[in-house]
Amino acid sequence: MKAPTPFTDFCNAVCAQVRFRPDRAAIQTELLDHLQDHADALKERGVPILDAREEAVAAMGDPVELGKALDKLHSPLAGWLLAVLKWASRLAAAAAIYFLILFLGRDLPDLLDPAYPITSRGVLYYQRGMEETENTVLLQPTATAHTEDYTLSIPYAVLNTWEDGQRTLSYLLKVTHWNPWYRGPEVDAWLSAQDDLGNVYVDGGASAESGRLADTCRSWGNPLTDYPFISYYDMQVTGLDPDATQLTLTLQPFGTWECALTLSLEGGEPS
Amino acid sequence: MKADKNLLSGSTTLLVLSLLASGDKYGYEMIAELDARSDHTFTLKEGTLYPILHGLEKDGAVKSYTRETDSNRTRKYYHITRKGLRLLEEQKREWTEFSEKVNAILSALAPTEGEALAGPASS
Repeated sequence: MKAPTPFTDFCNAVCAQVRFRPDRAAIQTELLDHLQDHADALKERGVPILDAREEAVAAMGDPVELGKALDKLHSPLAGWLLAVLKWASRLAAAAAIYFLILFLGRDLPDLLDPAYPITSRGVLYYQRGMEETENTVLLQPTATAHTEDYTLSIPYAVLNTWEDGQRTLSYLLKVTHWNPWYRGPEVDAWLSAQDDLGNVYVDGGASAESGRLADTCRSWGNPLTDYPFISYYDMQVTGLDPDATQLTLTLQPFGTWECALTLSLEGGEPS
Repeated sequence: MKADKNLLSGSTTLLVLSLLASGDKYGYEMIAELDARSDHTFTLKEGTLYPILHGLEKDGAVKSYTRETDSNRTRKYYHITRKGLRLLEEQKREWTEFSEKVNAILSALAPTEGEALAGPASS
């Protein structure tokens, strides 16, 4: 609705005195509403519309004087300072919440952890392993390993013993990380396994002192889904020495820091 | 009767706070109510209302908010805060003390009716 000219002329004259431009629109709206209310009240008393508008404007007094008085209360320095402080405090609050989640939210991953990681790969190694052999044991490793950025654990592990005595360990590896930027580390490339007899299992199958065939003794796997604070891997160790009782998984990216997780190959529950 | 400008200027803030103490109001509503309460005695220059309201808001004595009216217009309403209520009580006290002192001086200085009619003593 376009305001009548006498009203807008008056408001423009007032706002011209207000140096802090962001406040001008609100002042203009308030004054226009006042003028309209006064003109409406006069019209109800039978005053002709044009006279009502003139009288409403006259009742407001000198627009320059009013504008100067409002300008003193809407100081540009205070206005811009307040706007900057408002945005700075919003940014600070957002940053505080972000770092609060990062630093204190190390326990949050457990709250965000679904029962099974969502994957499009279908059946995982350990799931398949539950039904592959007659001699199948479900291990329940409780060990965890920590680095500055990661915590490793194994929610599920299945040990299969084949008829020829060969053993395969299939497990789900869970890596939690406080920093979402660190999600999905290349665990499958960094991981090697060694049993308590000194046999080393890597992707590519390095041979062991026991003389087993290289390509059957492997530690390998695939990344599954990774979340902001949790990454999962579908892993397997094949050609396990039948006499080995412990397996240590070592994570060593590019030969830098090292993180080792040891699990027992004994005990567990038959599947 | 148009109240003397000097008398009014010091008490306008007191009047505005008093108007808001009885309920939230918008600008013109305050002018209309002041006119009605004073039995059309006080005619305040309407433009002086907004510097007072904006000043009170800056000091935290009042808060403003917008509300939609029945005719789909939005109006800016003012609400007196607890700080504003304390300021109102303080200003009421000051006004009462001031007016009592003025009345006391006027009573002390006022001649009796007889003395006023007689004029200066004549020999």
